[in-house]
Amino acid sequence: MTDLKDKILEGIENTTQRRALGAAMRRGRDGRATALQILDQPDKLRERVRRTKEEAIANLDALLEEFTLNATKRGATIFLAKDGSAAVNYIAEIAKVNKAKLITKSKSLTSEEIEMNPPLEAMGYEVVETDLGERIIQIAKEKPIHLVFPAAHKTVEQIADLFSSGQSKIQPDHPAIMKFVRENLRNIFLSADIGVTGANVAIAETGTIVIETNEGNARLVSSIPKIQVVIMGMEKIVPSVENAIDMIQAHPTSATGQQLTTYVSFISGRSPLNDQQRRELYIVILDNGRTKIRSDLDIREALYCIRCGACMNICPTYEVVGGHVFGYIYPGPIGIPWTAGVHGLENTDFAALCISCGLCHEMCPADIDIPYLIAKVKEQQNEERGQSFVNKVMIRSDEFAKIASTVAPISNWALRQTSFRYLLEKTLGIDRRRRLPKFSRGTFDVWWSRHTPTMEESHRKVAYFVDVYANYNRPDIGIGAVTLLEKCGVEVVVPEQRTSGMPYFSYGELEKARATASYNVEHMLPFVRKGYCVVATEPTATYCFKELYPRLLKNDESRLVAQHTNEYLDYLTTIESFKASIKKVFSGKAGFHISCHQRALGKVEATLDLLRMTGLDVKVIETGTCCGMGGTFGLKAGVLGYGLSTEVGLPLFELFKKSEIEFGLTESSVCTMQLEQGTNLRFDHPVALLTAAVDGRSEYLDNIRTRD
Amino acid sequence: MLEMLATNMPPNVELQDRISQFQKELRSLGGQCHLAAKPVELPNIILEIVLNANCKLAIIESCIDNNDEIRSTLTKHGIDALHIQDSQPHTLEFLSKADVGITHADMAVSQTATVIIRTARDEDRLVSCLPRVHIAIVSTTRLVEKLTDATQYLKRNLQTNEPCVISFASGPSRTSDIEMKQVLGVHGPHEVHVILLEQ
Repeated sequence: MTDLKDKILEGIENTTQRRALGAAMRRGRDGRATALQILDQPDKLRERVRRTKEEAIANLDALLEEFTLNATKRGATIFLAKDGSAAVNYIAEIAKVNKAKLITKSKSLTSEEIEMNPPLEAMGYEVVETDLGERIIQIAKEKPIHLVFPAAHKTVEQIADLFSSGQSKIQPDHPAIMKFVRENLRNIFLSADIGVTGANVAIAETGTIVIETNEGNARLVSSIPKIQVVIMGMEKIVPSVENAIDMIQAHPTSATGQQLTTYVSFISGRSPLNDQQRRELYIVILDNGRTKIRSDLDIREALYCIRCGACMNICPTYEVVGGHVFGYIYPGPIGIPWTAGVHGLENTDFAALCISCGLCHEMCPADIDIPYLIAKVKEQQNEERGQSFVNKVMIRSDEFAKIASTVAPISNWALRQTSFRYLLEKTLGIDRRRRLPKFSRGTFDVWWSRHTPTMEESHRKVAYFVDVYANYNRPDIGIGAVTLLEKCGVEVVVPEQRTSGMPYFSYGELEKARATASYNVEHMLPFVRKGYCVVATEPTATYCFKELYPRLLKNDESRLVAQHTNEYLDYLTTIESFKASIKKVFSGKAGFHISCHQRALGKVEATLDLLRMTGLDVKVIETGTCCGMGGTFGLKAGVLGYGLSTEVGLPLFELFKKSEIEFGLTESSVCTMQLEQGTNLRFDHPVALLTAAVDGRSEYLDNIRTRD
Repeated sequence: MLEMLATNMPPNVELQDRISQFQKELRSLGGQCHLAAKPVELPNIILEIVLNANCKLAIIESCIDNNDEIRSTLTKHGIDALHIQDSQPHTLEFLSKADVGITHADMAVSQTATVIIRTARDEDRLVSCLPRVHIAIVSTTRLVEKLTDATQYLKRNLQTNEPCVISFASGPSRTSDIEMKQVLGVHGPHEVHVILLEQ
């Protein structure tokens, strides 16, 4: 972990790399968004890709057999490699038998996975990467920083330097570099003895290999040399041509925003070239841990990855540190379960960089539940070497909140004392720089225990989930939430409940997460069955009920509760009498922050309209990714916590500061903490604001602006 | 061959719409589209492209029907034109010297500005890979709207027992590997021209 922390610091300080990588990721994100608008029914494509991969992996044995049969019919030789060294040895043997000297390669992540080049080079073969990005990385002796943009961190000057040699200096501009690369590689293409390509897809029904490129290098690698070797992971096989057509669209739309890559080659057997006698095609199908991943139904979906890189384009911590830190060979979010599966758990320290924002799942074209797969890796790490002390503290943050609330206001005073914060950092690992919210002596629980609910039968019934913040820190939010509903004639109950349990999930304590999920579902269930709708004012809690609990529990009960769970403000937007009760008492500008878990719940337009009814000018301020807090992550002392969290947040802080708003609004308690500290603006929960608007308290805005 | 080309043409989008969509999409990818009303117009259209691109040596793929006329027109204007079959045994040498490769395409897809080229021999495939200019000729009767309209074509052709390669090409070769700036023409053609032959 010390090693990881050092690497994070290096990443943070490497501003050139951060700028370049950030630009690459934004381009990937924007491109994807545009492409999805052009695409005919992108949701349907996502469903089809998911189903294709599910079925293909389920029937993998039969598909492998079918593919082998059909490819062999067209003269290909198939080799099933159980691991990397088996694959490398096989390829080395081909090279030896054919007295090869020069091997050209087109981009193949699978060949990176098995680190094919160094042993072949050690045996005396010249191995040349021909994809420009890969070539840059090869000369620089680095690993790809990104799946799709392997050299995204290099500047044009650095690249010109890499290609320059003693006699010939290459000018640091694109045309000069391109001219050099084209001419330099041309002879290499023409004189290669073996061409090694990857495969984006393999089609079982025809025995075809499908290769996508933009540069056109794979076409030369696969056509000119006498021998072509394809190295592919066994998960690349799909049943039919129809499936392949879906894949070649899903991949570039998510990777670069192209509708198709410039070239897609469907290679069925080896075509002749002039009168060359021997034209061979070897297809090496790699297992290397895939069978093991496949056999564990809980993590099997990692194999549905189509290597588009979209998950890393949205990952907030990856954006700061890059794939050399956030990765082993496979970088980014999906790199965590893949590394665990093919390179072993001992190489997955970087899993700690996942802050459970969940955005990668939203982006994935195969709908892979990457956050769950990562939590599984963290769970295995915990089993192997135990949970870290600071994570144990974070998991119990609700208990600390309860204590702090009981002894408030002393706790609030203490939390502002430098010496006490120093002590907290030393003993509990809570960063002393983190400004903590005030705790309230009166809690929502106490208020509710004295509250007489309106007893009228109503067709609208709500079971309210409170969570930590609206109970111990800002009971006015919880009280406001109940009061607003009751005023509209909604019957409100507050069933027995624990906190959401998200920290358990974030730190890989899946058994405890399951126990909490089970408890909360069990206590909401009787109400749901009686027609109540579960609502929460904390987006993470809503996300837990709607997304996380069904994943953890995999039962009908959790799915039923999920179906009947609603985000609090979304619920309010459905009540016409509520809208009528909002008084237009405010004026001024406010910025709305969408927390990551709220993004997963859907659009916020209706909520914004509600807030605008108060007279406020409300606009969303966003970078499209996370504020960096990551639940309790940003509380933790040091670089793997507060430090990184703040770095992630900087671009968003800047947007808020430049936006000329008077204060911010967000439903998330932890985002509030992060954004107040990062922007020096005050943030409030929309429920508090709406409560004031319904009551006609126009002075409430001054309270927000001046609150300390 | 004819049977292999048979496909169900979608009736929903009219041919003119497909043509204009193809033109627009190809332009946005950095390629150029040309229209030929009759096969006899092909030699002159090709000549103009070749002269504009300052090409000295042209290679013609084996599936081009009226390649004699194309060749004689080019030769008359001082451009060396060679049929790929006549290049043996120095095919690779010729291909790497050639400035322009002229090929057929079995199909074109208007939504993505893709030409679909089936080759049974790799020297034919290389005609569209190595020269810096690629000219593809495709009949408008073979212009479909969506990628999925090519499914049956792909299925039939990939299921034959002879080895073959089906190549999709959408515009010029490109990369964004340096500072995410898109540059056209890396290892494949810098310049792509598609001639839609109206029949």
